[in-house]
Amino acid sequence: MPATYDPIATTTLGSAASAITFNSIGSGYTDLRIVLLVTSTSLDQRTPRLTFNNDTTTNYSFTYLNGDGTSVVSSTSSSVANINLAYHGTSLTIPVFYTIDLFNYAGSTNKAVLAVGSEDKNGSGSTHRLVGTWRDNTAITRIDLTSNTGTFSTGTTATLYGILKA
Amino acid sequence: MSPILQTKANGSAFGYGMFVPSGSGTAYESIATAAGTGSGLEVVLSSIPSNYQHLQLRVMYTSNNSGSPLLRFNSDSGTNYSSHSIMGDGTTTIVSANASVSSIALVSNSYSIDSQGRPVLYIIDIHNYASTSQYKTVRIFGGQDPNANPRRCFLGSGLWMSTSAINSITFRPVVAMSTSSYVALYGIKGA
Repeated sequence: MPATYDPIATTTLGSAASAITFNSIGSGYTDLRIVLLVTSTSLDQRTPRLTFNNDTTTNYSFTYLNGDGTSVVSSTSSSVANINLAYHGTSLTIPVFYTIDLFNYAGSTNKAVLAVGSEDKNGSGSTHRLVGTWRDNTAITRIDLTSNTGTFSTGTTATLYGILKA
Repeated sequence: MSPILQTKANGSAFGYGMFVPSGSGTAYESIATAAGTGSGLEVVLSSIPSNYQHLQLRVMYTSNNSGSPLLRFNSDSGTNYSSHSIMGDGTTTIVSANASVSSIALVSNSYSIDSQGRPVLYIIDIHNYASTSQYKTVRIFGGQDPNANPRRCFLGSGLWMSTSAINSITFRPVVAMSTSSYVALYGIKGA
């Protein structure tokens, strides 16, 4: 059987940055997975946001489930300019962990993601599950993970994997 | 082809690497894929080998109809399954459970998935699938957001009360999946 789940690229911030970009992504896989481990500078609870192919128009929507230790909620955003991956968001000192599965990224359908956020900060935080859609049929060649404000800290790491079906 | 890793802000850091689906040396292997045909209400992945520790299904489908997807193993339609789930529809959360039923539900009880031509996604992990001494437990994460209601963000667990090794999987969306749809099966090796 053909092995897959291939690491395509990893970036670890050597200095604070407002975004991490994977560019010039080829079409050789079926699905992509991004693993993001992030801290922030200066301000807690920044939220990583996801866009594709530099599209920052209102072509995105998402729905999530979130449990914060007290309650569970579900909410949604329609026709927005990005997919907001977080509920509580980043921490100044504690790494917050996200996985993002992007299906059929090179296909000719709308593109959709399943994302998991693990945001525990020893007294606050949440566990987060999200489904999101980019209403565009073009192949994804660029992915941006952008802080809603300010920057991600030095040491923030994102890895892009490719998964190929038989 | 070389992907460019770029970090924006005050200056940029760049890295370069090859974008080649080599896959060598990984413990995650593609076993089989069933593609949507535009007709039929289910797909069956059969003759699954027993040489992995776990299985993972990755599903993407679109359809213009609504259905309540479900999962079965080894074509068993007896009341040998149970499941629990939590689902968000963008406004409320719904929990449900089933005992001694004929399939594992992939959407909460009495709800449906309405693709509206946009992608429906699932990642389904099937643990210890080749065991002949244990029941089989699965974990499900999936949903859809067609930028309109109905929206679904679904987490589930399921059980097949059989000690038979799983050699076939039926994914039944109960709708005709478009030809761009796929149900892809992967094997995860043990040490």
